This record gives sequence, structure tokens and C-alpha cells, in this order.
Amino acid sequence: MVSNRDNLGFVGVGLRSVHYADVLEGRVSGVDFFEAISENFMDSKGRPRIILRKVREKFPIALHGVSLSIASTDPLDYKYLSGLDELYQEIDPIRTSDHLCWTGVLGKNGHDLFPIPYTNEAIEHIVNRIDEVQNYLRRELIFENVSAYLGFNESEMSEWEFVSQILEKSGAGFLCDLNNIYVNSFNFDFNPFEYLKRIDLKKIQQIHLAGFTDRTKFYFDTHSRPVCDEVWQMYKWLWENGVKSPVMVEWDQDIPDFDTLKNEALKVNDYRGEERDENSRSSDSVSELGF
Amino acid sequence: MKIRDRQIQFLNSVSSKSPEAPTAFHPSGTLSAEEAIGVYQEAYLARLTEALGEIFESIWEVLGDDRFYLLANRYFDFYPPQSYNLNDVGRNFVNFLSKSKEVRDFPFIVEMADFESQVFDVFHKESIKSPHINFEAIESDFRICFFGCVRFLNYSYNVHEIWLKAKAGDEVTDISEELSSYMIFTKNQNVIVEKMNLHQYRFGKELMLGRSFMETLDTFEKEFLDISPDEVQDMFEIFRESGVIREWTLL
Repeated sequence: MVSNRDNLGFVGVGLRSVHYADVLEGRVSGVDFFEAISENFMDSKGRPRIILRKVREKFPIALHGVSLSIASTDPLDYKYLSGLDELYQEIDPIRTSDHLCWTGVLGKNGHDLFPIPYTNEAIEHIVNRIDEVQNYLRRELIFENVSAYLGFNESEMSEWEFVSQILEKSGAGFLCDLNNIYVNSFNFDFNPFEYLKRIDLKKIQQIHLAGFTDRTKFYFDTHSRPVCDEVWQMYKWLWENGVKSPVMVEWDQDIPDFDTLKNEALKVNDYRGEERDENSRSSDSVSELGF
Repeated sequence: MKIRDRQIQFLNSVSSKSPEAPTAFHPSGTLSAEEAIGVYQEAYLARLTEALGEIFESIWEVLGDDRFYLLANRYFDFYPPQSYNLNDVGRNFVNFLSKSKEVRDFPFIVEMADFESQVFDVFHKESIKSPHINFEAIESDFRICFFGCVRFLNYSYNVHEIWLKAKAGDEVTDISEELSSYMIFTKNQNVIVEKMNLHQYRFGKELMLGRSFMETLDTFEKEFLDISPDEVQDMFEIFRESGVIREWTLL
């Protein structure tokens, strides 16, 4: 089982096709791992899969899925799970993750990370599904919080309560996407540090960083820009509070050259200050930062 | 309302073009409910169109943005995606194009779309591994098993040439019919296109369907198709050089 004590301090970036040549021709240094999107490789036996194997020979890889649809009320797709299992066996990833969301229903796929009503019914449904998936894959998965642009009136709790309960009841790990928390904090008017303070930090097994687009009326999770300062402050807070799980930068639109991406990821070093001991964790850092 | 009902309601709103938002949702930021659903509606169509465009890159090039967007929009109404794999979104596109009046100015477009989807499909198959078959040693009848990445294709236009032109951004106008046959496969992770004549295409296709060499010759004879020994020899030379045969069985 992967533990959040493995690969501590690792810094990575998302593996994107525009950087394949840099990676394969040995022009990459300074990052500890790559995160690859599982679905881009699992059904291909051609060039994409060969490239992933070659990258794996040089670097540890985390596999991140977008289509598990753990919250969907359709039956689990065992063809999908079988392909995922085969890819996991072949690549031996350091982390295996997907999202706390659903992507389709009634056999129709929206190819997006759709939000969930924060209800006890949804928690029970998702926990049961996580159990089924983890049993089938014979491994622990970690789940990422998603950004959202609308909520559901019947929600019975906050996002962090919802996420915390799922993680606690399922035993799954947390892929903490700080940009998603920040985007949602603007969109739904809450303090992002309140979110961080309310979750069990020991559950965090990986951290995502990314940039968003300010659409004036809302923040849009585009992965198209550098990480904003507020998100870096959130990362700093996590580090100071003992979270040293692998961290990586996602960049999916207007993707820069590899060095720019790498340098963005390596900014983590600027925010890795002194670690506080367990007893000194407090909310003072929240108010100090003006949130 | 149960979570399943809510998901059905949500996805119906996202995949429809209706600006109405169910009252069960509350928007984020200062968005209206309609604008919030609109964020998902816009992303839904953009993501699918982009995925379709990655498969049918040259079709997009020939048709231009406006026509391609229009067709994609209508296509996803008829064929909403069902697979988790975005590479599958184009499975029905060739059939859809064949019935679309918007492409009547481009009589070659349906065949080119078929060719492009075959190339895309083959690209994701395992490359051939040459098994060093010595055809000279084969004296009796035999069956052939090709590698999974091999396709025999036949069109009434020279779609490979048009496809190359379109990919290069060249204009593709005044295209006349030109019967064209190909064998395509992947080798060293590259898609290779071999031009063949019609008889060779037909012969290869019969072999691929599992007919033996002698059965295929019989089929040609019954259908009064002439294939010369030289043509057969050339075809097997292509098979040998390309390494497309995974195994053969003596009968």
C-alpha cells in the first residue's frame, strides 16, 4: 500500500505530449516524477503506450485518471477498470488517483468532472463504490477534490465535511488540489484555509498545483497559467503543517516549454519553510495572510 | 430528490442547449443559474469538438472552422458520447458525414474521413514485429494471419494524396475520382501507407478474412478477376518487406 510517507518531498509535473521529446532525449532534470493521465495511455498499444514505458524507465510515474466516475449512479465500468488494472501492473505507479466526481449517467459520458450534492446519501454511495473499486484493483486509490461552478440546494454540509467523511469512511487517500480549493473558495465564498484546517492532513498523499483563469464573475479552473500567490501560500501552510507528500504542477492549456514548467514546479522550494511541530498548528497563519 | 435523478437532470441540462437551469442548482460567484450551467455546456461541446478534431484533423482543415463546428454540434446531438475514451468520439462520424448535406460540395470527404479514422485507429495498435517469413519455402496451400494493425482499404478517390495535401494546409479543389487501394499498418510506431492495385487489395482482403491462398485464387476465378502471377508476387514482396504477416499456417 502507498503511504503518505513514501516519496516525501517529491516535485513533479504533468506529462504532456509537447514535452515527450525533452523527456526521451534526456533534456529533463530537476523533477522527481511525472504524472500521466491514465486514459491517454490505457487503450493504446501504439506510440503513446511505448512512450509511457520509456518515460517510466527514467522516472517514477503517478497515474491520474479522469474517467472512473466514482460518484456516478451508473454501474461501474469493469472494462475500464480492467484496462486501468493492466496499465497499473505495467507501469507500477507511485500514486494512483482519480476525482471525487461523476462524468456521466444513463450510459452517456459528459467527459467533464461534474459536481456532487454534498449529502449523506452521496457519501454512502461513493464510499461503497470506492470499496468495490479498491477491491477489484487490489490497491488503494487517492481521490481529488474538484472545482465547481454551481452547487446543489439539497447539500447538507460543506465541501470539506463531505470530502472528509468520504476519506474517513472509505479509507482512501486524498489528492489535495490546492488550486481547486482556491477556485471554489472564490466561487462559493469561503476561506480556503478553513478548508485546509478542517481536513485530516494525514490523508493527503499528493498535492496538485495549477493556475486558473479569472472570468470576472467566477474563477475557471483552466490549468493555463502559473500558480497564483494565494495557492502558493496554501502550499506553504501545508508544508509548515507537516504535509510533505509529492507535489506537482498541472498545465494543460497554453502549455509552456519544459523549462518554464519545471521552474514553476520548483518554486515549491521557495515555500518550504520551517516545519512547525504538531502542537503549534493553529489558525493564526490564516489571519496573518489576510484570508 | 435522489442523487441519480439529480445526475440525470444535470447531464440533460449540460448536453442540451437549453439556457434554462433547474431550480435545484445554485450558481457560483456572481453567475446566474443559466450562466453557471452555460459554463458546463460550453466546456462539454468544446471538449468533444476538440477530441473529434484531433481524430479528423484534415477533415477540419478542408471544411473550415464554421462548417466543422456546425457538423460537430449536430453530430454530438445525434451521437452523444458513451465511451470513457475520448478517442472513441468519432466512431459514428463517417456514417454521419455520409448523410450530411453540408459536405456535398466535397464528394471525397466521406472517404477521406474513413481513411483518417483508420489511420487514427491503426496508430493506437501495437506495431508489427517482423517474424522473418521465408515465402520461398512455402510450396503448399496456406492461410495467413496479419498483425492487428494491418488494414486493407479501397476508395474511389486518391484519399491518401488528398489527406497529405490537407494536412500540409494546401487547397484541395478540383478533385476527380481515382480508384485507389492501400494497405496501412504501423511499424516502429509510425503509420505506413502502401499503395496497391485493386486486385492486390482484394487479394489481401480475402486473405485477411481467413481464406487460404488457393481459396482466394478460386474466388478470383469465379468472379472473372484476372490477377497475374507477377501481381501476386509483387504483393507478397510487399508483405515480406513490410513484415505485416504475423504467422502463416500450411494446409
